[in-house]
Amino acid sequence: MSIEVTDELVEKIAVLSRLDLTREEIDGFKEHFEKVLQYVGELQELDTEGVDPSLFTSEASNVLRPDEGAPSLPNEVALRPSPDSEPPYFLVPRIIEDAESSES
Amino acid sequence: MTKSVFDTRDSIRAGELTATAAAEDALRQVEQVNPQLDAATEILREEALAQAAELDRRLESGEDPGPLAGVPFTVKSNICTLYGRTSAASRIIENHVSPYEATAVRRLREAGAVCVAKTNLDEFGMGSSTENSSIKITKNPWKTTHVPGGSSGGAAALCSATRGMLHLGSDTGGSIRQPAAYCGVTGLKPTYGRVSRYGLLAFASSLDQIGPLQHSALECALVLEAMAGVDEMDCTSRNVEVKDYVESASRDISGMRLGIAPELFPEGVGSEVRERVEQAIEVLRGLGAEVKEISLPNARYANPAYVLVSAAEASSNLARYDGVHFGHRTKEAEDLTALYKSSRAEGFGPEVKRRIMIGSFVLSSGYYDAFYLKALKVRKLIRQDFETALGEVDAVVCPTSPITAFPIGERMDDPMKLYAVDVLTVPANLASLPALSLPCGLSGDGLPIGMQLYGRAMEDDVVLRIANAFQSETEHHLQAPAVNAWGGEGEA
Repeated sequence: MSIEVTDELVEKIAVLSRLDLTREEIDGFKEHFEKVLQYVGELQELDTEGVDPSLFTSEASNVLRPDEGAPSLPNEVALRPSPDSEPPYFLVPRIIEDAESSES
Repeated sequence: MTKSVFDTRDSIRAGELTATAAAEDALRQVEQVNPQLDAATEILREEALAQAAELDRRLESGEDPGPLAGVPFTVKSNICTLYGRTSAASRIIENHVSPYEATAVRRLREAGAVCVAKTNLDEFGMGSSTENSSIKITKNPWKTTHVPGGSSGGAAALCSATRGMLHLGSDTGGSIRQPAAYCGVTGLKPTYGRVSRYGLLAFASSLDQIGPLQHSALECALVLEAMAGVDEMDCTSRNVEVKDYVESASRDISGMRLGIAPELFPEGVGSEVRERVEQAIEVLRGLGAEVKEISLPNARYANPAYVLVSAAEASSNLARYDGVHFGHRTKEAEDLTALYKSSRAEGFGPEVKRRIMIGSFVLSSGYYDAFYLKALKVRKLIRQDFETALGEVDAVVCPTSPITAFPIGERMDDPMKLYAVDVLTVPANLASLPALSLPCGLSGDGLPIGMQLYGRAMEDDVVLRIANAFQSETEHHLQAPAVNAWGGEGEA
């Protein structure tokens, strides 16, 4: 599969990755993408028709346990590493607009 | 003062050495070499001495605090400890102190071991040189102008330059074995599922394993024995009997069948590396092992498949660093999406961003089948190759890295040059197999060369046993680097 690595493609991937990129970084990623695509291109020569894709290659299977409650990290301990919190919540910028400003 | 971990352990158990004296000696060693090596990101003097004092009280009162009572250990900074920073060498969580402890760390601590330092790494484990650290660049104790390998470069350098401690690293594509090779120590990536990953900051969950870096296979066996076993906090940990690894590693290897695959001696392997590994194979033959040629036809596709699979998993795992739950948050952001994007842009280093971008790309609509799914199919073929080969032989022998440690800065201009270094280690992670690197000699310019052993799943004891047989016969693992804390005569 031939892919043209454009600004638009890199910018789209940056949105999916939740990363702000500078102009310089976008150029760097274009170059890097091309190299990686070239490097992994040789996988295409391998015939994988009928091969089951393998997410895990370990022999482990589903692990089940009784659905019973057990102690977990106390709320205040779990919040400790957060840059901004007000127990019992993590704080983030407002995500629901006020009634007056929601018309825009 | 002491030579091996066994000496430290036995002296404490015999009452000839206190846990406090052992901790003091370990701290002295780390403090002595760290200004030259930048291997430890944090030295936990106060906490270690407090724990050691408590152990001494228990020992004095006749209690048995566990099989590793008073043995000092270090932990790679992407593994959670209750004290010391678990920064993953990333700006995004540079001051992060974990609210919980990794199971592997807890098991060592409950066996009586004392954590004395956290060690440096490539950010989130992404790199092969420990140059991608937000904190500092670790140096190779054999030649401080050279990299120690990575990503467990801090652990490898510190292990190489000190004695009598345990060192925990992690390995996603070679991050224990390659630095072990570059620093002249023995490193084991256990079988996937042998050691709990709970508390290891996830890079690629289907590939990551915690393992030891030590001066010998027997020391690795001791650490594995203490850490291994099923854990309800990690559903990929396997409920398979934990062997007496020290005992099983001590058996001889006569009649054992070793496989050599031409695909694991590709063109890029340097001539000195090839020669030393071939000489080591002759030593193993002399110890009674049978050597035969095997084939791993798809091994050459392992690295491209690894690049895609590991990036895909990384992009998903690193989504949690969002400026909300942990660490760095950007100063001003008008909405939640802007907060995520700026916090992540400011917090992650360039290599981590590259991997996230590649991962998001291969998982995105339109490219998923051609790249990610294809890589998973190739992964299956590689696993099948090893299953077939390991039906004929007990272990596969190859070099750990095609080259020896390289000068700092040499490969930083082109990430692809760094990826190429992983070509002989990534197959073990893709196939979930145990693999071990051990020193097998020095290059002409005095840098260590590593030999690698691949075993069958859950037969970690077999690779340990072969390595131990080799180390009982040779002295490569006893050679001292130029920078060391015990006064050993260095090579350089």
